[in-house]
Amino acid sequence: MKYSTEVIENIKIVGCATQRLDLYDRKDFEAECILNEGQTILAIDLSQVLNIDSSILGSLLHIGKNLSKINAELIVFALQPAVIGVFKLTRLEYLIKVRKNRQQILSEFRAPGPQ
Amino acid sequence: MEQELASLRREKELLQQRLYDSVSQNLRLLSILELSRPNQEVISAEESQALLCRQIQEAIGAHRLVLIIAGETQWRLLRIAKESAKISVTEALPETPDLAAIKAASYISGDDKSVLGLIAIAREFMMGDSGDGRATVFPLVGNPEARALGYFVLFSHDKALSSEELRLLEACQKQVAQMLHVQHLYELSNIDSLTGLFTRRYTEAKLRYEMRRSTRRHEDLAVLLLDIDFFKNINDTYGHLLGDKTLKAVGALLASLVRDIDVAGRIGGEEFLLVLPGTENAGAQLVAERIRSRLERMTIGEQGANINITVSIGAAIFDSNRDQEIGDLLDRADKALYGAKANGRNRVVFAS
Repeated sequence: MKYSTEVIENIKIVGCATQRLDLYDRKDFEAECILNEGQTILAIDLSQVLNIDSSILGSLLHIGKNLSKINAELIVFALQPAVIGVFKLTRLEYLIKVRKNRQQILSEFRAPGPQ
Repeated sequence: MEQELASLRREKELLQQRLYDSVSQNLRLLSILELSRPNQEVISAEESQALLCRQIQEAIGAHRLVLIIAGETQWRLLRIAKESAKISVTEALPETPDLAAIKAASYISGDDKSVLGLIAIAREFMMGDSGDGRATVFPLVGNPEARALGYFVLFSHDKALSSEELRLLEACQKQVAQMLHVQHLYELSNIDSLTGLFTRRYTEAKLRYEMRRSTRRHEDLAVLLLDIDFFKNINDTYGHLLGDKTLKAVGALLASLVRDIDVAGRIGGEEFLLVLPGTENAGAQLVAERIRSRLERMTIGEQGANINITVSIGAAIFDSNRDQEIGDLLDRADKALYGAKANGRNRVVFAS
């Protein structure tokens, strides 16, 4: 399977087991990025992705905007240098939160549980 | 205080929106750059054109676009509908007087009468799908001297194109023209001159690509390996002229029997390889049997000598678990072909 999903409380983590994400993947990719009730954080693991094209970046932009309307948030993490380059070049880094790793996401965005 | 907060919030939203628009614009520019990046995988002209159209659609936005491709022998048309993300590709455009006039001119532009003809052709293919509105024609020319390799016909419903959209389109126009040009040369260099089929190199590259695609999309894929029975006898008995004629006839028949998405190549002296994407066992059986029986009934003649030929076919269905490399799949097809030969020829045998 190309994508894996894991839910930890309010966080949905989508893993992409592919080196390249492009136009052909767009539909499947977007389908993976739908949040269920109670989930407020969509975290996408890009650790294996070496190459990402403009259509997937467009998807991310779109998803991020839609999530913000329902008080949810999109975060990408574990980006490869080339992908970081594209995020900087297109300035997507100002609109989508980028984190280093999964641990950082869990400690920063996990909703406080019942005390 | 409250008011100040509200106005700050509004300002923040406004800035956010501006940032969003500017990033969107960057992504559009990026998608245009991607047009010229050579594709990492060898793909057929049709596929890369479909891919290209999607990219243009991404880059230009909500307008409707028709791409007319001026092929060497036939002209084709691609229609891109933004909303459905669907691309329709026509078979060859019918030879109307309109098209004849456009073909006669090596290049048509804005103040040419045939531009209207071109728009009429494009409009007809919109099939009532908002083919009204303003139409603009953009010729796609590889270099200043050459004939147009194709045309964009752009329909915009209610408003004229903004200057930014025009700039984007102009950028696309150059990239697409260049790409069509390269593609044209590429295809020319991959055609076997005797049979008109693809060369071994191209066919194998295409098979490699289809294997990757099949694995990726979980789609079926079949190959047929075909060999003319006792071909050496034909050459020895009737001479090479008739031998060549036989190869040509087989090539023409194969080309006429395969679909647009299939690849038929001549990979050896009298050996042919057919790559059939999206084809499972029953489909491959049907195609192979059709080829076998059509060839069996065909008569090839040369100065009084009329001969009949038969072919043996080895078929294999791609299995991503077993066929890691192209050689694995071809090996299985080859064994099946050997089985067909050993069992009396003129038959189709499937690889186990």
